[in-house]
Amino acid sequence: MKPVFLTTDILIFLLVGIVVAFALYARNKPQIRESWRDVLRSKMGMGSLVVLLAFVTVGLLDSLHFREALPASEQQIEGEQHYSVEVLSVLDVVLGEMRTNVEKTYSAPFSAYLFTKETIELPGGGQAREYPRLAFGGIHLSDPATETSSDILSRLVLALVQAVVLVLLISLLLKLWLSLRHPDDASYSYSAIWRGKTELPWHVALYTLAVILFLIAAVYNLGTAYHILGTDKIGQDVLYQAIKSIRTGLMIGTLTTLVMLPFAVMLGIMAGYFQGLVDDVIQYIYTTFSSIPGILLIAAAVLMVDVYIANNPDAFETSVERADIKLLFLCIILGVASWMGLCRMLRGESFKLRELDYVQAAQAFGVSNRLIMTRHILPNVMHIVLIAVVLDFSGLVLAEAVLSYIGVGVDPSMNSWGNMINRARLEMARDPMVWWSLLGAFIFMFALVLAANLFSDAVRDAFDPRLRKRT
Amino acid sequence: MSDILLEVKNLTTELGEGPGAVRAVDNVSFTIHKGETFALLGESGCGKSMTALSIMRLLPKPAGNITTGEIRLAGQDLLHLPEMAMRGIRGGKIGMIFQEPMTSLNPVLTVGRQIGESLQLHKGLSGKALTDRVRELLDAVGIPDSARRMNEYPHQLSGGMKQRVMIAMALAGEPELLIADEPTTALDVTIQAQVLELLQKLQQDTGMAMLLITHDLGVVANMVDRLGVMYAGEIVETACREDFFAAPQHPYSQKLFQSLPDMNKRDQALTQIPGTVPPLSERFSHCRFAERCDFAWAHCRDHIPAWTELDKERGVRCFLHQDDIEKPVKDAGQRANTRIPASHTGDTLLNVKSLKMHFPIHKGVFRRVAGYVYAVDDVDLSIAEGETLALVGESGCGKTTVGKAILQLLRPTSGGVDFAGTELTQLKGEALRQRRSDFQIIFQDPFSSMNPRMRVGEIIEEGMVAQGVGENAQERQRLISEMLEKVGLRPEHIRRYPHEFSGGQRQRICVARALAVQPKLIVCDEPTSALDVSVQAQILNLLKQLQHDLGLAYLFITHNLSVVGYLADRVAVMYLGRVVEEGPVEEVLNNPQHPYTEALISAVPQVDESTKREVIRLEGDLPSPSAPPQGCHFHPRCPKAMAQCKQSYPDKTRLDDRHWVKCHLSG
Repeated sequence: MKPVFLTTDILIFLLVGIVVAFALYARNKPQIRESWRDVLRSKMGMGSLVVLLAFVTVGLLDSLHFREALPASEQQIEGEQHYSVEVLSVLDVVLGEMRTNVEKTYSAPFSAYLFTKETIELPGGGQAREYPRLAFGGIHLSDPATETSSDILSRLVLALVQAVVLVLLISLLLKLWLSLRHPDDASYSYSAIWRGKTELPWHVALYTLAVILFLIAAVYNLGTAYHILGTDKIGQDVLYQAIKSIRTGLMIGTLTTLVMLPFAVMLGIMAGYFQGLVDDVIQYIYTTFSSIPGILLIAAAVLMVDVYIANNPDAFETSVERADIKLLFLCIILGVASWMGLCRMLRGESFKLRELDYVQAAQAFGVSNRLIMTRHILPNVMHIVLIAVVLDFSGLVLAEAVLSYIGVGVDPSMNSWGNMINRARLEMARDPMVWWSLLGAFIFMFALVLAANLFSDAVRDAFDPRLRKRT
Repeated sequence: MSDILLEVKNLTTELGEGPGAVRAVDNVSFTIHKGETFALLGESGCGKSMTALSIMRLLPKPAGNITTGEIRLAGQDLLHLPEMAMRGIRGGKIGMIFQEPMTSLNPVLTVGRQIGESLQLHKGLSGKALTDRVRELLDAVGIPDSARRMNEYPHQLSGGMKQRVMIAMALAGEPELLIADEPTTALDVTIQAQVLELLQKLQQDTGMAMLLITHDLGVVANMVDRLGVMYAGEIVETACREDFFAAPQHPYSQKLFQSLPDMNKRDQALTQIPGTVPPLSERFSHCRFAERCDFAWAHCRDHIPAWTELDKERGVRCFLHQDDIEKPVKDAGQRANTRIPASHTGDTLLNVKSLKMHFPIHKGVFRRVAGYVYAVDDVDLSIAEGETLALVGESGCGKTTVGKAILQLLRPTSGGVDFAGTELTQLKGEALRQRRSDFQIIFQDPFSSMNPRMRVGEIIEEGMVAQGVGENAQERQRLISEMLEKVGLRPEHIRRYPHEFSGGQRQRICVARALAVQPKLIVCDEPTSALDVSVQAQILNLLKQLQHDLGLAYLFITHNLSVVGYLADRVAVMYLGRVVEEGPVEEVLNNPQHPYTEALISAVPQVDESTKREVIRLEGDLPSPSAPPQGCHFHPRCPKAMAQCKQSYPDKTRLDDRHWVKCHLSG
C-alpha cells in the first residue's frame, strides 16, 4: 500500500489544522467562546452542526488516498513493488462492496432485476426476452417478488436496534464527560440531558445523531445486499456515487473560501483603512473584476487547465490526480471570481471602524498601521468574514452543480452531484424514466445545503452585533 | 381632586421574565395636575424613560411588562383600554417628544406630511384645513417661513428645527399631557434655551400639563412646578420646585446638588457618590441607596424605607425622615471635601500659531474640489506646563478638530504647532511616532474608545509597547497595575474586558491608558459629557488630582461651562472655526466681552435661583462652516450687531495682557 497525497487532500487537512488552531486560540478569548456557545445554544445550530460534522467526516475519510500493492507477478524484479493504478480512499474501504458490486446497466432502487429486458437462454433450450436477475442486488433472495419487502423490513429493524444501542452508548459517554467537566453541578443527570434541561441542547445533538446513525446502519445492512438508490447506466451503485460526491462538494465549498479570504480581507481592510489612493485602486480592481461575467472567467480557466492536462499527460501518474488538479483550479478560479462581495463589505466596515475612538487612540500612541489593522480592525470585522464564509459555502456547493451541468465544472470522471445531475438529464428523457440518479444527488445536496444554511443562520444570530440579544 | 389629570399608582414595570427580570420601574406613584409641569429627575438607568413608556403603553415588546399598578388619565384607566382606544390616546390626549430629534423623524417624508398625518388621525382634517393647521402649528413652534418649511425634508432642517417639528407633531392632537423625554439633551445650550422657552410658552398658551424627563438639574430649576427624584427604579423624593431647591431631603438628592461642578468649588474636590447603582434585577430587602449613602446605618441595610409624607405635595423615602425609627446618635454628617491645591504653572508647553484646517468638498464625477469646510480657521492657542486651557463652543464649531490637529491625528492645512520647542507639523513618520508619548487624548465616549476585544491590560500596554515604556513584559505589568491604582481601579482588573465596566470606570481606564506613556499634555475631548453628574464628579476629581500630582497640562474641550469654571485656568471660546475670546476663567465667565460668550453663559440653566440671569436669546442656528457669513461670523445671530460687523472680521482687542476678544464692540 502506498499513500497518495493529492493537492486538495493536503489543503483540506491544512484547513482542518487552521480550524483546530483557531479553536485552541479561541478557548482563551471569552468573547469568541461566548459567541460560539451561542451558536451551540440554539437548537437549530446544534442540530445542523451534527449533520455538517457527519458530512465532514465522510469528506475527510474520502481525502485519505492510497494505492494498493499489486500481488507479485512473474516478470517482476525482486524487491520492486508494483501498485494498482486505481487510487482508493479510506472511504472506499469502508463502503467495501458498494464500490465493486457493479451491475450491467440501470436497475431501479431495491430491485433484484435489471431495468432493461435482455434475451436469455432458457435452461431447456430456446430464448426469452425478460428482465434478468442482477449480479449482486438481491442475489440472496430466491423469489424477489414475495421476499423483498419482508427482508428489507427485517434488515431495517436490525439497523434500528443497532442505532439505538449506539446512541445510548454515546449518550452515556456524553453524560460521563459532562459530569467530569462539571463535577459539582448535579443538573447534568442522564435524564436532564435527554430532556434538554442542560445549558446546551445536547438532546438535539443526540436525536440528530440517532437519525444519522440509523441511516448509516441501514446503509450498512442494506447497502451490500441491494442497490438502495439503484444503479446508473454502467451499473455503478448510485448511492456510492452520491456519497463519494460529498468530498467534491465540501472541497468546492471550503477551498474556494480559502483562496478568496486573503484577497477579500487584505484588500477590503486596506481600502477602508488607508482610503485615498489605495482605496481608489482597490475599488477599481474589484469593480472591474465584478463586471466580468463569472461564468466566462470560469469557463476560460477550466478550458486552459484542460489544454494543459492534454499537453502534459506525463505530469500526472493517475487519472485521479488529473481530476484533482482540475478541481483545485476550479476552486481557485471560483475564489478569484467571488472575493469582491466580501471585500466591499469589509471596506465599508473598516471605513467605519477607522473613525472609532479606539483606532484614533492607537494612532495617538504611534502604533504602526500594520498593527492597527491586525489588532484593531481585523478582530472587529471577523464576524462579517465568518458570516460571509458560512453563507457562501452553500452557494458554492450549488454553484458546482450548475457548473458541472453546463460542462465547465469538475472532471467528468470525478464523482460529483453536478455530474450526476448532468447525466440524469438524458435519463429523465428515457421512457420509462430513470429518476434515481437525480433523486440521489438531490437528497444529498439538499441535506448538506440545508444544514449549512441553518448553521449559517445560527452563526449570524450569534455573531452579528445588531442581532445579538445580550450585550 | 378634580383637577388631577394623570394619576400613576404603584406602577411596576419589568423587563424580561422569571427571577432574572429587571424591575425597571418599581412601585412608582405620582400625580400630575392640569396645566402643571412635573419632572422626573434621575441618572441614566433609573427608570424614568421606562415610566414614560409605561404610561404610553409603548414598552419594548415582548420583554416589557407592566406587572402591577394603575394609570389613570382624567379618570380613565389606561392599562385596561383595548389597543384600539389606546392608539387614540397616544398623539391625541398624550403627546410625546423624544430625546433624539435626528432619528425620530422619517427622512423620506416632508415635515408637513408628518405633522399632517397626526392631524388626519386625531382631528380628521383634510385638504386646505389640514395645510392651514400645519402652518399654524409650525408658526406656533417658531419656525420661520412655515409655508416653505412644511414642504421640506428633515435633513434640510437643523437639530433645533427638528426638535421644534417634533414638538409641533406632539401638539397636533392638542394633547392634555405632553411627555418630553430629555427634549434638549442632544441640543446645544443656546438651542436648548430656545426650546425650553418655547415649551414654556406653549404650555401657557394651551394649558396642557407636561411630564418632563431629564437628568439636568438646571433644566428642572427653570421649567417645572413639581418634581420626583428617581433612583434605581423608585421615586425617592417628591417636592415642589422651591422646596426642593431650597432643601433637598433625600441624601441622594443632596448628593446630586453637591456633585455639580462650578467655579466656587475650584479649590476642592467635588462630592462624589461612591459605588454604582445596584442592578435592578436584584430583589431588594434594604434601602437601595444604603451602599452609597453617608448617613446609612445598620437599619438601612436590613429594612426597606417606607414612603413618608412630610407635608402636602412633599414626600421622601428615607429612614432619616421616618419618625418611628430610632436614628443613630452620631450623625454621619458631611465629610469635608479634600482640598486640591492648584497646580504650579510653568513654561509654555504648547504654542499653536494660526492653525488652519480646511477640508475639501469634492463634487462631480472627477471629484473636483468645489469648496472647503473651514473647520478651523486661524486659531492661536498656548498652554503652559501644568495648566488647563478650556476650549468652549457649540457642536460643529471645530473644537474637536483643533484637538486632533494638535495631536497630528489630522494634519493641519497650514499653521504651526510648537510643542516644547519641536514643530510637530514638520515631523513625519518615525520621528512623529516617537514624540507621541508626550501628548495624549481622552475621548468623549468611553464605550467606543476601547477595542471591545482586548483586555484592559492589553489596551493599556499597547501604547507602552509602541512608545517603548517599560523594559520588558513584567516591568510593564507592574507599571500597568500601578497606573490602574492611580486612577482608582484595582490591579486585578487587568484581565477583564471593557464591557465589564461602567461608563465612569471605562473613562478611568482611558485616563490610565493615556497616563501610561507619561505624557506632558492631555487633550480631553468632552471626557465627561457622556457621563452622569455623580460619575462626572469622580472623573473631574481624578483629572484635577492627577494634574496636581504629575504636573500635566490639559486642553479641555467641552461645551459645559460649569465644568470649565471648576477645572480650567484659562478659557478660549470658539465660534465657527475661530477663537472669539480668550482669557483667565474668572474674567471670561464673570465678565464676558464677546456677545457670543455672553449668550453662551446666559443660556446655561442655573440651579441656583439667586444667580439666575436674563437669557440672551440667540436667533437661528450655527451657520455652515463651508460658507461662513461675510464680516464677523457671528453678526447674523448677534443681538448687538452693527453695520460695521457685516463689513469686516474684527481684529484682536487686548483688554489686558491675558484677556482678549475679537469684537467690534470692544475695538
